[in-house]
Amino acid sequence: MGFNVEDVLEQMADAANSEVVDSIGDIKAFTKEVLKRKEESLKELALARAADEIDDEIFNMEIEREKKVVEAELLTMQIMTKAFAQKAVNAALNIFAASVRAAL
Amino acid sequence: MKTGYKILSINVLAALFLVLLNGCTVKYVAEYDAGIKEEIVEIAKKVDIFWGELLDRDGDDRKYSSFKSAYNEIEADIRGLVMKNEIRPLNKASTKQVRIALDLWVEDRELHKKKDGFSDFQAKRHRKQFNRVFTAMAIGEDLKKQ
Repeated sequence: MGFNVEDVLEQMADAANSEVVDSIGDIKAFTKEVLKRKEESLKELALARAADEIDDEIFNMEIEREKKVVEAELLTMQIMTKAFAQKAVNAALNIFAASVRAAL
Repeated sequence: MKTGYKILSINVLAALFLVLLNGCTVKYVAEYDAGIKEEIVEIAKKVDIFWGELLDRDGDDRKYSSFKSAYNEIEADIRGLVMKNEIRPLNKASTKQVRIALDLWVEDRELHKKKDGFSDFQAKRHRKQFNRVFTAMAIGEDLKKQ
């Protein structure tokens, strides 16, 4: 059986692409959820300060905590993009390996 | 004879190539660890119960001394999780996440100690913050499944 480089490259690109397409929806949904929670949290904080329920010290402390929480959430997005990239590259490599095996 | 050697060499090279191809995968994230995922969920539960019990009490019945042992126990659990994550390769983001949880927990302990009490507003807020951090950690671990 022959080894057509162009065909193999196309199949590799398709495999990687299908993994990427599948993952874009997940990344979008997670980003939306993170932003929604951040907005709710900051809104609650602003309302409490406006109503004098909390003073400046607590307000500032809570802003700093919010930054840390959002950082933790964004780190999940970092893991997400790396994990999806790993899947896409490995899908392409699997196609390449299978094509070479078939050609030998 | 020369042709025979050539064919043999090509076969050996092809076999070697196949062996290399079989192990040819890239790794950008750590291996999934079901034990770590379970531990994240368990600690998250403990932290949630902690805030629930604190909020169940009246404002003047939230002395630091009543919660000291729970702070110690949960802090030890989070520190253990930091260590387990630190020793895993390709795991910087997850380690940073647990460190954030630890920072927030130690900050709460210091705040409680300083004020010898906890307001409803901050307790409810911090309960939600921990929920968000532990959820992010659990999703992060889950994503490592390939």
